[in-house]
Amino acid sequence: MKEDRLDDVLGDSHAQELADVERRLSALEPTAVNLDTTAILRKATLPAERSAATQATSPSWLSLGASWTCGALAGALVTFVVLSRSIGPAEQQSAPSASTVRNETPAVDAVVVDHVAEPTQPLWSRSELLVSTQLRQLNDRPSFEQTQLRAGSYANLTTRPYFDPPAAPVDSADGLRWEPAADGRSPSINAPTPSSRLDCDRLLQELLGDVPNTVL
Amino acid sequence: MTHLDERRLQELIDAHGAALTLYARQWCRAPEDAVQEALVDLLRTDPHPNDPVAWLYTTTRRRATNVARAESRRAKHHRQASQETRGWFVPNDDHLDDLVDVESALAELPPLERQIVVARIWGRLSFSQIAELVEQSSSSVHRRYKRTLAELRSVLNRQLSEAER
Repeated sequence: MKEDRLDDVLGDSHAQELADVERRLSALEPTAVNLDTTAILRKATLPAERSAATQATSPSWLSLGASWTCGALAGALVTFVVLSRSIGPAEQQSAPSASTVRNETPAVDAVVVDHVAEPTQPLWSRSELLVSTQLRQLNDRPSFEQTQLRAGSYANLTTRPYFDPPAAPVDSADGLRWEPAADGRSPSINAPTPSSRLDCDRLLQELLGDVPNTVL
Repeated sequence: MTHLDERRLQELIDAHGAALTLYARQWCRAPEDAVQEALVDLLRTDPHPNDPVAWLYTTTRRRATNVARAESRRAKHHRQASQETRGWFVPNDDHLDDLVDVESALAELPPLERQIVVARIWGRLSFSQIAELVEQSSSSVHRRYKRTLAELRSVLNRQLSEAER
């Protein structure tokens, strides 16, 4: 319908000329093509053969992947065994000398430290040893309350044993030595016997040299 | 499994092979390769196209552009193909003078107009099929076809008048 309308618009003469040109062109026959139908059909069926070949080769890919996985697992197992064997003897082997262990392992393990020989140089000086000994003795000394309880009277807590300075001056460490008791459970003090009991006024008077009334 | 047997394929080639080759010749110098690839694609296509002839023209154009691209990449093959290029039309004693004229006139046409004329005159496709092929409306295709025929007529008449002189 559109063609007819267009032909009407163009006009009869013009349409005649175009129809003539169309006839001239149609009279020309394009060059024939020689195509091999067998080759075309074979080429068209090639993808099916290729897919079949892919299916045939798929087991080989599967076996290749399986072998690769097995190889990776075997390698991991061998690595684990080798590492475990290299670590085991190192832990069981005793160090030949302290210097060797120190050179090999900067961060010395506690287990390895037990096997290290004592160093030739003393770790502590004499003064440090003396201080540590005194501190240890102080820690072993019973507390004041324990001493008073062992003495047996709470009333004596208000007054402390007074060591008379002129009678028994404490001028050395031997004068105040703690020794274990006879039963071996509680220590007893080996000190001079207090000469008399002192009250607070006298203690203050002796300590300050002044009359307590003036202070208080 | 293909949709066509060898006999049906041969009939298709006999009926449309030449026009398809002429159509593919617009893009490449080895149009037979493009047509053969298009036929292979037709056999492989699943499902089978409803309009195999129109489908063949579309696929031939795509294949021809691919062949032309390959030819441009391979200069040696390009030169060889240009040497083996045959005429576009079969020599005929009645229209011997028109052969070169039409070939040159078609070669001078713009690509879209040339596609429309070849598909209409030698491919015998309807305007709706051509419109689908060139992705234009049917009215636009028809207008272009009439205009191109007018241009061809003027060119052929000019060449004819020059020959008569």
